[in-house]
Amino acid sequence: MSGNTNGRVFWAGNEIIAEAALRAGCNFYGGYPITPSSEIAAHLSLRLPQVGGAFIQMEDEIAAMGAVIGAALGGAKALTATSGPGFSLKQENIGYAVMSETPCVIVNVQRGGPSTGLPTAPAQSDIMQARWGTHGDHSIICLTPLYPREVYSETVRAFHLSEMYRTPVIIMIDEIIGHTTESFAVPSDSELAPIQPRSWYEKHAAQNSWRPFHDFYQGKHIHITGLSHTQKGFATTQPEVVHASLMHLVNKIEDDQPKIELNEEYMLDDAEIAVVSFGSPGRAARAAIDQARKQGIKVGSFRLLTFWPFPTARVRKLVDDVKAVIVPEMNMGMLRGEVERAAMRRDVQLVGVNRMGGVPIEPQEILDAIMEVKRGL
Amino acid sequence: MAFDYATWLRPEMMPHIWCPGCGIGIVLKSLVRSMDACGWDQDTIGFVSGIGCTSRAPGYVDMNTLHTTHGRALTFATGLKMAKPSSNVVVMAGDGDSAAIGGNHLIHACRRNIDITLIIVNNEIYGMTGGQFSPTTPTGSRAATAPYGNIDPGFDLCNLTIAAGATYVARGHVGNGVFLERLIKGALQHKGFSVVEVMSNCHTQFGRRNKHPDPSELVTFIASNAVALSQWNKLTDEEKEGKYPIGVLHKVANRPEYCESYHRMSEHAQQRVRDAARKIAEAESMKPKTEPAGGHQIED
Amino acid sequence: MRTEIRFAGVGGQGNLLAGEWVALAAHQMGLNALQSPTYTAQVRGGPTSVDVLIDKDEIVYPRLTDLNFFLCLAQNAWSYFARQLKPKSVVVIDPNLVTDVGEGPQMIYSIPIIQITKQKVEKPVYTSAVSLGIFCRLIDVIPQKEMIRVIEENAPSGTVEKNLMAFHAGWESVSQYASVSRSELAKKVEHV
Repeated sequence: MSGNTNGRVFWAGNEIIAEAALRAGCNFYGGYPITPSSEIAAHLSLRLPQVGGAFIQMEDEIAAMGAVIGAALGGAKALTATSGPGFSLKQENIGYAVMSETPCVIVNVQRGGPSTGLPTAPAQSDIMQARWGTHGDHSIICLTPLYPREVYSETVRAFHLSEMYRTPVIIMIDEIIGHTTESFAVPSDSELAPIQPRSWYEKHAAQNSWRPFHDFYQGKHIHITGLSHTQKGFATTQPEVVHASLMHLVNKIEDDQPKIELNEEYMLDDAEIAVVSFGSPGRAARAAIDQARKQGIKVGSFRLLTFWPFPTARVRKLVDDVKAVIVPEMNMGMLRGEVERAAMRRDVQLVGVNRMGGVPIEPQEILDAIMEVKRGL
Repeated sequence: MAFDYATWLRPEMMPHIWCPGCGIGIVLKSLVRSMDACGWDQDTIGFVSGIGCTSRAPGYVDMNTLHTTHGRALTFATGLKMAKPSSNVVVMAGDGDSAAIGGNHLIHACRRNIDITLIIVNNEIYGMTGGQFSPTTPTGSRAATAPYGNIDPGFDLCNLTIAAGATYVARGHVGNGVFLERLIKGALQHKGFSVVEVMSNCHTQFGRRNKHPDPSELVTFIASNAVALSQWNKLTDEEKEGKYPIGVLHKVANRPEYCESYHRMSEHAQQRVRDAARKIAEAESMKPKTEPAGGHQIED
Repeated sequence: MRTEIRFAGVGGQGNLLAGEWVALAAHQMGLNALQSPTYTAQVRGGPTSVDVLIDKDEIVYPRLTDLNFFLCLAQNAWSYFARQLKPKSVVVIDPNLVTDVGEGPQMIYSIPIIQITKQKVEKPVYTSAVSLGIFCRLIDVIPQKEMIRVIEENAPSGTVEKNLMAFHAGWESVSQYASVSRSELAKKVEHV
C-alpha cells in the first residue's frame, strides 16, 4: 500500500523488503509463490521491469534458488523469498551458493511448521534451519530485523554483507512482520550500509573469496563448481586443500562476527533480569518490560538483529551481568539453547516463554514470567 | 586449417575423468567445433551443467563454466541468461540429470522458449553413480537397480521437449560426429530453446550389463539403430522397434523468445512510469501558484 | 492515546479494505498507524479480520490488547475474533449475519449493514464504505473529512461517488439504531 507523507511511508513488511532490495541495487528476483512471502514477489514483479531489472517466477522453489545463483554469477544482485516448505526445498542450492561463494539474499517469512504447518500464521521455528539447513560444514549470515525501519535497513545491509563476505545472507522475518503495514520513515543513505556495485567489493573483500573473485563474462573464463575446489576454482580431493577451503568458508564469517553483530539493548544497565529475544516477540518483550519497570522491577531487553553468526561473547557477558534470563520465542527453545551454549554452565536462571499455534506471544505472558522470576530471586 | 583445440580446452585439466571410449568426448568436441563455427567469442559463452558424467564437461573447456547441482543446470542457466541476455548460454546434461531429477526444469525451459541450447547426452543409464536405470533406459534392460530387467517405460526426450514447447529439437548419435556438429550448430544459431539429444554409449555401466561391453561395438550398435528422418516415416511400427529417428525433428519460428518478451514488457513498464511522471508534472504545472502573504509580484 | 480497531467478517466483504483505509487516513494525518490482517485458511468465505492500531506515540506491541471498536459481519468471524473485548469496547454487528453474541457487558450497535448497502448503493461491494461511515461516527479518531479524502484518493476510478454515498449511509445509520445490551439482543433474536 502506498501513502508517502514527508518521507514517512505506510508499507507492509514484505513490501519494505522489496523496496529496500531495490534501494540496495537488487536487479534480479527469482521466486515461487508461497504464503506468507508472496507479496515480495508480487511487488517486485511490478517494480523490477520498471527499473530495467529482471523478475522471473520459476517452476518451483529449487529452480528459483538456482536462477538466483545463476543471475548472481551473471553479475546481478539477486534476491529470492520463500517460507517454510520452500525454505526446505531451497537448502541444497543455498549450500551451493555457500560453497561457490555466490553473493545473494534469501528471505524466509516464517510460518508454522513442520511440513505444511500453518501457512498463514507466524512462527520462528526455522532459525536453526537457517544455520544448519544445508548439508556440510559452513557458516552463514542470518539477520532478524523486527521494526519496519530495521526491516528496511537490514535488507540493504544483507546485500552489502553478501557481497562483502561472498555468501548467501538469509533474512528471517515472520508472518506478522511480513503482513503488518506500519508508518515509518525511510532511512537516508547515511543511515544505511554501503550501496556499491560488485566491482567495489573487489578492493574490500577479495580476501573473502577463496575462488577467483570475478563473475562470468568478465574475460576471466572462471570455473564455478559445487565440488570442493582449489583457489583457482577447479575440483580437487586433496585433503589439505579441501580442509583449508572449508576453514576459509567458516572463518571468513566467524572471525568477523563482531563486525557483523547488531543487537538492540534496552534498559539493561541496571537490569537483574534480561529478556533475550529476536523478531516479533521483541515487541511484546518491550511492552512487558515497560510495565515491569513501572512496578520497580529491574528488567531489560536484549534483542538480536544478527542471529547468525551468534553473538556468543556478548550474550556470555550479559549472562554474567544478570541473575535471570527470560527467552520468549515462537518455537520450543531454539534461541534459549544458543543462550545456554553461550552461558557455558554459568549460574544463571534460564526461563523460556514458548508459544506455538500461530498466535503471537503477548506482553502479559512475558510479564507473568518476569514476575515469577522476580519472586524467586 | 586444422581446428585449434588448444584455444578451446583447458589442457591443464587433463586427463579427464571419462572412461576410455566414452561418447561424451565426441559430443564435447562437436560442441566446441560448433561454437567456433558460429564465430562465438569464448568470453560470451556461459557453459552450464548439473551432476553426472556429462556434467564434468565444463571443467575441460576454456570459457565461463558452471558446474551446478543435480538436475538444476537449466535453472542456473535461466538466471544467467536473464541477467545477461546478450550472452550465449549452453547447457550439457545427461539423461538422468535432465529427464529425472531435472525433468520439471526441462519442460519449463521448453515452455518459456528461453534462448538456451541444451545438449542431452543420452547413454540410457546413470553412469557416475554406478549403473542405475534412468528414465531413458529401455524396458527389459539390466541395470544396477534393475537386476531382473527394467520394468519402467522410457521417455522419448525429443517428443517430450517438442510437446513441452522447445522450438528446435534434433537428435544425433556419437557414431557420426560430423552430422552431430551440424545439428548442434543449428541449435546454437537458433533463437529460442533448442535441444539436441545425442544417443551415446556407456559401455562401462550399460553395455557391460547388456551384452555390449566393447565401446566401439556399442557405438556401432547405437549408430545402426539410427534412421534418417526422411526414412523414419516409411517404417512400420514393427520396424521402428528399437530404432530412433535422427536429424532436425522440429524447428519452428512462431513462438516469442523469453528474454525478448521480457524486454518488451520491461520497456512497456518503463514507458508507463514515464507517462505517469509526465501526468503528475503536468497536473503540478496546472495548479494555481499561491504567493505567500506579502510576497512580491512577478514583474515582466 | 492508543486506539484499537478491528473489522471482522468473511473474506470478500471488503473488511480488509476498510481497515486499510482507516490506517492510511491515520498515517496521512501524521499519526503512527499499524494495520495487520489475520488470514484464516481461505480468504474467500473464511473468517477474516483486520486490526488497526493508531497512536500519537510509538506503537510498541503490534497486536490488540484492549479493543476500542469491533465491527463484525459474520457469525463465524464473531466466534474467531470477538476476543480482546473490554467493557467499554464499541461493538457493531449486522443482525442478519451475526445472531449469537453470547454474554458480555458491552453495548452493541445492531445495524443491518448489508441491507443498508443494498438499499442505498445497490451493490454489496460498497459494504466497506458503509462500515467506515459507522466507524467514523462512533469513534473519534479520524475526522470525517480525512476519511472522505482517503476514499476519494483510493477508491477505484468510477466508484468514488458510490463509495461516498455508502460512507454517508453508514454515518447516518448510527442515529437510527441505538445500542442495546447483549441480553436484550439475545431476546430480540428469540422473538424472530
